[in-house]
Amino acid sequence: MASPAMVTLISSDDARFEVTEAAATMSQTIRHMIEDGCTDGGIPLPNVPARTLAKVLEYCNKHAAATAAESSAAGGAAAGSDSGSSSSADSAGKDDGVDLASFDKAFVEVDTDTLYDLLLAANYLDVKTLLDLCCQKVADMIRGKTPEQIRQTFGIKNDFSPEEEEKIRKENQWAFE
Amino acid sequence: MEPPEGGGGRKKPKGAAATPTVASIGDDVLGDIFLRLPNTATLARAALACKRWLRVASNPALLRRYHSLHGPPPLLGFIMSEPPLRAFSYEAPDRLFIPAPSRNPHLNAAAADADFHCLDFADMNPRSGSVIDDWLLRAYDGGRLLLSYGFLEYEELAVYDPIARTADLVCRPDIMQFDFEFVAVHYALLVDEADASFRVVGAQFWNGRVRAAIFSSRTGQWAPLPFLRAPEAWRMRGGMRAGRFAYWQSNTRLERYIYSEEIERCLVLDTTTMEWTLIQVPFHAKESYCVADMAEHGGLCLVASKDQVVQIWVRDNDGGWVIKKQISLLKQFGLLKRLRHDEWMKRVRILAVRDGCVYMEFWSIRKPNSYLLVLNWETMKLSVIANDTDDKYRGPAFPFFMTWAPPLLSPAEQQRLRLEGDRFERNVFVSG
Repeated sequence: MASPAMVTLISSDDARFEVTEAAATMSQTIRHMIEDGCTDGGIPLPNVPARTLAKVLEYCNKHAAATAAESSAAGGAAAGSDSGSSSSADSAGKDDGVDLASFDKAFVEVDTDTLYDLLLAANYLDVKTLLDLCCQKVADMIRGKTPEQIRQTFGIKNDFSPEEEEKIRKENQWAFE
Repeated sequence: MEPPEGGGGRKKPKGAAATPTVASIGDDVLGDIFLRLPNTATLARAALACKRWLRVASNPALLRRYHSLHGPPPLLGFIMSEPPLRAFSYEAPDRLFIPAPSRNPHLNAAAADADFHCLDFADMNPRSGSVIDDWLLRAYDGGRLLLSYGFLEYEELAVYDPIARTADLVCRPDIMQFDFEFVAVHYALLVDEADASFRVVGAQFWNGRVRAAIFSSRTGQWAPLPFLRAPEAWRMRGGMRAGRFAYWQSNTRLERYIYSEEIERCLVLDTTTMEWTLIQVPFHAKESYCVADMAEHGGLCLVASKDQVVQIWVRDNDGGWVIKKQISLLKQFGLLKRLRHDEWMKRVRILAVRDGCVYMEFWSIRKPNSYLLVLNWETMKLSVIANDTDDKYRGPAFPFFMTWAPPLLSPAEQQRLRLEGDRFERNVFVSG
């Protein structure tokens, strides 16, 4: 197998990361830059600091590798007998799925600051599955909490006047019972 | 691709970016997060965190997407009424609310607390002087009730949310559009659940034609609708909503001593095109039915019950009506057969069709109690809710749904936000 194409990404604080093109192009933003030929001397990502980019690339590497493994498994199975192909591809995909799901779960077990960083980076880099993962994590953190607990968790300042808060609370009383 | 210089070393500088806060998350990402909240109760609690979260959570475009992701709004219960008023009546018909059992405690709380008798509303909006000294329930849709006080030209209208206990008073339509002297105006309510805006359509039959006008909460004004010529007189019932249609059944069954002919007519307004259709129903005038807007059957349909068989009627190529689908409730569901046998339940009243479900009442002329049925056409799943009342509620009855949107912002505030502009897509407020 030929060695995979590599690209260099440059974080906002000038750290350089070398990654496979397959991993880098999980980001639609980077994919477009590569397509536009803006890759000479590395791709600058002025909105993403190194520590966040490292984390994002950890995610992309894992997922790109899993995708590659899955497609080669599926390709191999397709070359085999017709009847057996679907089941073997399924089982290979399933193992990866379990592995990836637990990776994803552990991946977002981070403090809220890191989570915001990841959200911002995933949004800027347009890595859809990572953005989905982070959004789901924040949604899970909101779930089951009172407004006070939500403010505490996310460091939000309450800018309602007591009267405004009381009015909204009263009109949505059912949601607080 | 050129090989990178220096081999991609990993430095770990600190403090390159300011510490992020929740404020750094843009509105669009915050919206994506809100779309993943499991129910509107959680959404309402999140919205109370701060003003920005409230604004994002109340965005109609977001709520529309929330709705399409989370399925149809949950049924809260059924509102039953005593039979419609007689001309010489001095009292408003009594109402009864029958909650639909739910595993969601927030829905149960909403059902238990809601002001379905509009007592708080009446306290906030005291009126006096009319023969019937009470606000009357005239129409419903999308978690709101259309109430009226007074008679004919002195009639006042209000749209009330019995859960949030908020109301919008609706100005009276222009005297030029209706004849208020002799003939009642019959109203239908159409609520846009995503942004809490609503429309009211008033219609009356008088002197060979239907006169009608439509009120929009977005403009705060009534606009006249085209006339419809109609050769023979008939008596309308209160207006109902079915998808994009507003419709008024006639009172053939109830007024058979006045109008001897047994023809049941149904007046239908397509509220997207403002075109009228006057349907003469293809089944016997005594059968219970409702209008439905079913895309899979070409839009305008009628759902009727002949004995205990539910029928979907659709248009054929010649503009006539044919039965597209029918189901015998007694053959399909053993429980109903037992109720027929043990409790003499016999009649099927079609209340509404919405989101693939038919809402019905299974009742007996001999008994006050009844059973409310929810039949999903697709899965053929039937839910049965007992109505164990000792009084007869044989007047208008309808299923009441929890709205999509927690009623976070009043329509006036929504309007203000809309006018504020650029954060919101203007075009989402235009229907169609």
